[in-house]
Amino acid sequence: MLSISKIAIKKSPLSLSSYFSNTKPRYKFRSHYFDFQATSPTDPRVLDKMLPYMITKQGNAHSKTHMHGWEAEGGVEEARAHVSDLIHADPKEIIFTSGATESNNIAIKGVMNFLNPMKKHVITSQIEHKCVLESCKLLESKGFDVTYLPVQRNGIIDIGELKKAIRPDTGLVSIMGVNNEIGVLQPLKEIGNLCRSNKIKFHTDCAQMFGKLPIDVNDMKIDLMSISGHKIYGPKGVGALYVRRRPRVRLLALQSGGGQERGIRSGTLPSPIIVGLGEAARIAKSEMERDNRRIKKLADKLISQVMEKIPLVQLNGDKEKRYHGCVNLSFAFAEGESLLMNLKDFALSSGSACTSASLEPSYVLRALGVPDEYAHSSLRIGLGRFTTEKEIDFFVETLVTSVERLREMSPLYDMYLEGVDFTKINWSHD
Amino acid sequence: MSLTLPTQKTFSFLQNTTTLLKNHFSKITTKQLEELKKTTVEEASKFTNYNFREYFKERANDLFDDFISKNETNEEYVKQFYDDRKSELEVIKRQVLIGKLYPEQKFVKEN
Repeated sequence: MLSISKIAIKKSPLSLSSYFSNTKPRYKFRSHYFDFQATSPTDPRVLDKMLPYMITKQGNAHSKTHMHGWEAEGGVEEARAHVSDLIHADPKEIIFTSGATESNNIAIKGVMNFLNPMKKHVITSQIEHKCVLESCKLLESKGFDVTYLPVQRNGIIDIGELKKAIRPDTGLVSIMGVNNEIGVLQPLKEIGNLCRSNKIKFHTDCAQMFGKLPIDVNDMKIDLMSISGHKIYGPKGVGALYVRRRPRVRLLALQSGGGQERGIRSGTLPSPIIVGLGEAARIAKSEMERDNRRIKKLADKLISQVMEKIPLVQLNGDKEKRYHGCVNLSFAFAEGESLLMNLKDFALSSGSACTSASLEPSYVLRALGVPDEYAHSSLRIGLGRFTTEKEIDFFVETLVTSVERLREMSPLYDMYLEGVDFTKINWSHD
Repeated sequence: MSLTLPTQKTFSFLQNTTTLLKNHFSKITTKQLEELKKTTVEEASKFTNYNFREYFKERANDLFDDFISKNETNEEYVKQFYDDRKSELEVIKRQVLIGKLYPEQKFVKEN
């Protein structure tokens, strides 16, 4: 009897923490961060600016009758000015949202719902972010027509194809600035001029471009632009949508409420994280040149050293027209997931964060025409403001040894070295 | 010796000297900039996070070296630069403290 009661006392009840075992570190050491396209660490200067708005200046920015509200409103308006200053826009044209996904949804669905039934056609590209593609799919189910433009081998849109795709009932063109998987930069100025001359609204998802490459919404004739906070060393959960006022862009709001943010996005503004976004934009404006210089130097060093030390490596996307902080490399005869397992000391991704859970090769690489065996063996290496040269050296050293080890184990690589032609093999089982 | 009251001449002489001294001491010297650079780099070296530590050290060195080499004569610009860097130093001090409150694992090569 005593032994049973002892067991009953020793056995502890099921605790909630046992369900969250993935918060315990599986590997003893911290990994070097090379996934800046997925998200970026919050800059300490941004955190410093945000904290007072979480501790003392905690008022609702829409409270017009007391000091707490005025302080919060002041912070929000200052942030709005910083964000608009970076893209040469007017502060009144910036709408704060919960992120680039929400901004993309508002832009695409809002504009087309307003233009319905006069305009029924949307043009986008095959390498857009999932939120843009899913919004377009939803519009298709509601009776709209969507053209998904193919891209060239280097990942860039063909302006001739875009001209051919334009119809009299085209209402919106949505092309992203910098792709999140391969880093290519689209010709926004040419696309903007084309859309303006055809009186079509031009939306661009600049989540990966804002604060990293110079943008001028007037020069590029952009009507709508999505901005993400956590890609520019700001906090997660905040973004913005630029909506042009001259000539006016009309859209139907997705979220109904008290009419905040010009009626386009109702809801209490999260003043601490908006202030964080504003500070991140201010820092990005002053540091853009220096950051780009550093990142280009590190990226060039990384690519040249990897290509020098390992054969059969391919850089996906255009070599020149890109944001240098996004390097997508494919290694023949070395599988992507196994490479990631060998690179435990580095935080990398083999596809975008949104699609990394599935086993399919990335749709972006497939749209580029990269064959499946290269698409499965691709790594996306993100460089950012806080990456150091020593980390790059350590990464190149580990990557080279991992790729060589995987290729040693690969029977296909042996066959390649013997000169076997893979196209002539009949792979069926007898 | 009888004490004489200060005359108008003495007052104007004193006023001129005070303005001269004020202007002389409000001018930011290269020595003050070097000192602020040294303090900033010292404070930035206290970050527990490796990436922040290296970034803020390199940035302080780059910014100060570029500015000092320019030999800016406009005192307003120099004062603005000095004030900006001083307020950034305060930010760095606060964030170093916050970093220490939330310790994290080390990298494999830091061990």
